[in-house]
Amino acid sequence: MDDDTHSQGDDSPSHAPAGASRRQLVGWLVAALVLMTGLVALAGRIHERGSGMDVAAGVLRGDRMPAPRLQGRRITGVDNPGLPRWWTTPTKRDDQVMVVNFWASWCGPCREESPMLQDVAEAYADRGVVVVGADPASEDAMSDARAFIDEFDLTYPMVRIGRDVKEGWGINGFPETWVIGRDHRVAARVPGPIDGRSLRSLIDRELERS
Amino acid sequence: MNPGRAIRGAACTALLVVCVPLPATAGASSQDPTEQEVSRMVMCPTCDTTLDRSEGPSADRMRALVRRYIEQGKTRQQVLDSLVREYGGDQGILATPPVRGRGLVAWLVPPLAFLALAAGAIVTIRGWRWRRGSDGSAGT
Repeated sequence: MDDDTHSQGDDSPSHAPAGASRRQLVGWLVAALVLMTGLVALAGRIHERGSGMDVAAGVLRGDRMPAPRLQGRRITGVDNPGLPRWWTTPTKRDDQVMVVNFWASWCGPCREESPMLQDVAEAYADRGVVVVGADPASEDAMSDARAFIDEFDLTYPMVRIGRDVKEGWGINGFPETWVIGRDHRVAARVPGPIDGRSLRSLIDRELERS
Repeated sequence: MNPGRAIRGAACTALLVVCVPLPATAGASSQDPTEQEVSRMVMCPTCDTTLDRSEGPSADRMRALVRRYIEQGKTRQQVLDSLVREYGGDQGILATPPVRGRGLVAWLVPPLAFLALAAGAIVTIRGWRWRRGSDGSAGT
């Protein structure tokens, strides 16, 4: 009985359009679903493109890529200055060569090379070279990071970086060491451990360059 | 029996099955957590798996922290909070997002999406029924 009313067609406005408008609704639902899937896929692609893989690939090609941004929080409760105040003013960084060392307290090779980094930081301090240690906040417990800094008496500035910064530099493992020139561009990138002689020669080359 | 009603009934049952167990993860033994229990609730910092299935130096360090907190007599929630604090306030180390703030999105979107799809399916099926009815072949 009820079905008959529906089959009458368009002349009964209260019941008749139900089937059609419902089908339309389903159409909209499917369209919305497709659109959402597309948006999610697109967001994924944009995220990938914005990551540090570009920088890493450029450095591999031998290009002097612009250095990714380095920022983060201080490691509290330990005798370490953190990033200098002038850090966020790019013009004041113009006369500095930067060594950025990515480390984590649980990483064996990081333990081995940190005394060397401290030596390099002290030896080059008055030649316009800043060594910075970057510790991934989401992968290394704060108390472990403190203990690490205390154990090796590390006085060069340390910073706890977030996932975004780590991805911005395209870091996949620790340690990893970068040399950034006075032009704020990547002079060298060394994944894995680095020995003192190699690091010094990379810094010297960069100092002579400019 | 009316096939439409049967389908609707099935859809409702499916909805109940999907939605009801969600809040049931809260509760259980929160006063005296075990290392095993907490390990299932947090992610290994570097391996994209829960801590209880993870190997490696960063996982070992995290397990050591969990053991220390449990020895200090912390409740499960206190252990989890302390871990989040130690790892830079990053909620990402929790295996499930918290049922508050931004974490709510992860809890609400799947059931809502399921509801929307179920509604869509019901409407479609009812649409088919009507079309069959209007063709005059419903009775056969």
